[in-house]
Amino acid sequence: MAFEAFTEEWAKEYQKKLNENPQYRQAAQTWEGPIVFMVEKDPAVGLEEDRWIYLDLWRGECRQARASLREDLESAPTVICGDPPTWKQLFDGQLEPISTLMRGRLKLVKGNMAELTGHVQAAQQLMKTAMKVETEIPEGL
Amino acid sequence: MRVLQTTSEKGLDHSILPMRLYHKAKKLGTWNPRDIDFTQDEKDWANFNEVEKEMSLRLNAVFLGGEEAVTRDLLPLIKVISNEGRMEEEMFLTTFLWEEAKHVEIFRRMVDELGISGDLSIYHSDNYKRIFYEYLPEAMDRLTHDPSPEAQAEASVTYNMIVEGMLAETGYHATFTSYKRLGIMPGTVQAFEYLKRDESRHICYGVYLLSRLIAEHDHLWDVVSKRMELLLEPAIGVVQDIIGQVDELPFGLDKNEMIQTAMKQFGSRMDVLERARNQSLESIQQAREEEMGELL
Repeated sequence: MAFEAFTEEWAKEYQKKLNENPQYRQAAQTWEGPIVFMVEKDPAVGLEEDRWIYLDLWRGECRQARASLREDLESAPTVICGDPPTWKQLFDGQLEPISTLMRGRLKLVKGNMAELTGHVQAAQQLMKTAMKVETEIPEGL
Repeated sequence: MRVLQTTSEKGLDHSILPMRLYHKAKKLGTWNPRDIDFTQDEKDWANFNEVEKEMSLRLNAVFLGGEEAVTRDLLPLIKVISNEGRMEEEMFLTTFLWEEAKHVEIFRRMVDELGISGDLSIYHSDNYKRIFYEYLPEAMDRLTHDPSPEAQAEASVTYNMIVEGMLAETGYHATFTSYKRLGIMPGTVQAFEYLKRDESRHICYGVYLLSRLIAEHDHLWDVVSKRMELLLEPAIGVVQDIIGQVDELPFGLDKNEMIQTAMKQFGSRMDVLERARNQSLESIQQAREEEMGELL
């Protein structure tokens, strides 16, 4: 069953996949803190507002996942944002996650890149797991 | 029977990028490591505190090991290029290898002049070993029995994009900038100035080679992307193993600045390679050096 990207259901499925992924659990043993993934609005593809999900990550476990509240954007220390075509290419496997982040196509709009790169294996597994969620992409992309 | 290019009507094409790099190398790559004066560096080193000495040694150990590795591992690529009859590229690659040998000499000389002895490989972390002891020699050695475009692309990504373009360039730039800003280690600063210029030509050739391969075989873009992704994790790990040792880096080295430099270079080169998918071979051959990422 496919889930519409960056919705509550998608976030829950993502959490499930993360907690089932032993590689993520292993790689993220030192990761302590929430992260927000955001897709920028693009009315041309039917996305009228920014959409984002919040993941509460703690030492290899995703303790909570939700389609996010406005206050999550302020409280989360790390926010990664991309436009719909970039996310689509990631979900389709046409882009590689860490390269995309390094190239600035996925933007670190909040947080510290030096700290994030200190968790590069965890970040890679985090992104790769997102790509494993069966995802429905808005039409028009 | 073999055809010798330079006695044929083809001659040498001085307009193509590798040949222009060759001409530059003859002028800019002729510095002599033995001419650099380390007298003041010895005095500065003696005044370093323990943290500064440790960082300096760690950096030197990774730079020296890296230069030896790239010197030892380049030959299979030169052979492949030679077998393909690309005389201009081969001519540039002869300067490339000679320069790498000089880089080994200068880093070893720094160690010797400062009176450092012992096994410096203790500073080679697991991430470092994955790249310099495994991925790099394996990718380059593969060319001895597999000269396919795919093998060349993987070799060049490993050698030119990750080892030179990300690790060496970022490390040299950070060290050079810090020492220069502080007005210390003038011999080392001078050496880094030469090293950066040489590496810039080498990386430029790597971007050219990959662009040529991608323009000729579009599917290689995926090969390049996947190889990058595989190597980014240990490569970033190498940087983290160095900058993550202490909360505050000595010599005014800035963690974020180093990461940002690496990202900027990586991003701009990937953009060049992606553009190559829609470019003709001729436009790549005639590209200006700065279009292919030569900075100096």
